[in-house]
Amino acid sequence: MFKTISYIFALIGFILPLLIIIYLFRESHEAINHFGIKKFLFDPSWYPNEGLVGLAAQINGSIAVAFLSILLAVPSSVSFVYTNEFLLPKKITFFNNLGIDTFSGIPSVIFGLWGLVKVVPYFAVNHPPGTSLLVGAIILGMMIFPGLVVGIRGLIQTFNQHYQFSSASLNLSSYSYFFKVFIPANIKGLTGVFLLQFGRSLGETMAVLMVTGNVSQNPDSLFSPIRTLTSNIALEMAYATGAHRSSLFMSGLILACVLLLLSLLAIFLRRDDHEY
Amino acid sequence: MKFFLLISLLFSQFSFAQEQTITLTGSSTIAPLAMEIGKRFEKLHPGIKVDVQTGGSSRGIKDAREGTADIGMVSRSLNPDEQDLKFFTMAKDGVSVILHKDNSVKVLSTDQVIKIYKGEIKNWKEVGGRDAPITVVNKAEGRSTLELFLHFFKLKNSEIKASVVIGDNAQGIKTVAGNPNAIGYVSIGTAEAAIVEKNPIKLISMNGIEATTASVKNSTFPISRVLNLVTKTQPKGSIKEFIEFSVSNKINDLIIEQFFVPIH
Repeated sequence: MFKTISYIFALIGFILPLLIIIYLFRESHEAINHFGIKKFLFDPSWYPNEGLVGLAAQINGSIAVAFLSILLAVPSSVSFVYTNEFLLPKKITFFNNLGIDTFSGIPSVIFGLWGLVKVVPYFAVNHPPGTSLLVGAIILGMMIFPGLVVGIRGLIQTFNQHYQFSSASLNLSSYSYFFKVFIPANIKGLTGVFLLQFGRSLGETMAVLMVTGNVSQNPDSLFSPIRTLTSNIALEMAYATGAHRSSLFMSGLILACVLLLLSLLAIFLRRDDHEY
Repeated sequence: MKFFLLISLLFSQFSFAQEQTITLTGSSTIAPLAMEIGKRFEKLHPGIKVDVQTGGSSRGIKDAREGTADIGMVSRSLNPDEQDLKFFTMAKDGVSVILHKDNSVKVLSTDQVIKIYKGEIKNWKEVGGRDAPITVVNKAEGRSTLELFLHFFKLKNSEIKASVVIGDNAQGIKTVAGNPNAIGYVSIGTAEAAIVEKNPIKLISMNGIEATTASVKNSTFPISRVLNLVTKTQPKGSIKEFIEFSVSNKINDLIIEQFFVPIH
């Protein structure tokens, strides 16, 4: 009995995403036939009620904000883990880890609301309206920070079991151990962790919707408002009918394909570290 | 097999728990009112449950037509291609341009609003305000507030140069309240409620007529709309009772509570 149920759940892991993609294909079929796939990928104008359904600006917006969030969160999380694992006394480390685990459980909408009422007005003073690519990246960076920390921490704890004593016997400083031994040896694993969090940034909806301004245009500066593929769906799906609705499924399909590729890459990279 | 028995038990619980459910979907403007009406209706008619879901007027039309919902909520008059549906007017509502309370601009002409939204006027000093860039707040496509706004100002959405695009009314009020240089538009009822809740916003008169629930009631305010319930066929039974209750003056206090305008 337990085995049967386990098998069912194991199959769900792969059947569910497959069904989602099939469903997305089916629902976006109408839009693809109507407008052609080229228009979605290369046209930057999104006015579905006037027959303009270009998603190029949203694709660029999504990638820009996710990439920028990684750029902000990776250095900070790496230095956080280094300090926490090697420099701080164990008692503080305990509370730090507790804090990070709690932090990772905060729902995204809380980050979004905080961003909207605290961060956006701060940027609005010098760069109105304040809702922008940069604020989106800051909020996302904060959201993926705990995920990055947990990922890197996991890698370093496994790594420690094998190499900590040999490093200690060579009298390596924690700095050399971390930056000259751990990071080069785990570069693939780390990239995998980064990619997964990049995917999370890409898929985040509510927080981004609240702070990026949602104007569908190619980002030309850090302070220009952007719309992501996800907020596009969240803003308009409830109100859309016909080709408009189908076009929104198209943005979902593009997102799903990108996420699938990222996950594949992450799994592929994670597979073969520590082979020396 | 206990597992499957448990599952089927769960499902049976869901399907027999209520004797009858009236489902309403549609406009997020009407939903809060419909929920209040629903609560009162449930008290008067034990055994009937009223389920209200939002999703916009377009969804209200779609769900009523497809039978996904018993009643659709539509916050505009029906389009020519929607005349197959039966509609019942519950109340009226107006859409007003809103500014931050600290903005020194008191009046805007129709033409100025159009120019601001088209990006031809970019600074408040061009319309008599302080020297500051204008933040244009627009709504996402598909919302009836946007439709009403575009229709009144004879604009196309692609002509609008927005700085921020928002979803629902509450987000619009938060955005304008948080930015002294913003201009936006929301339903007058929602805006008046927000002012009562001490949000720093103000309503702008249009064509010399003040944006108040009173001017919407006597149909003088130009940007106004009707709040409708729609059904696919002539309603029967408890659905008929619910609609008759909703368009009667027995719920005027609820309409006023929601800052809409009663028609009776």
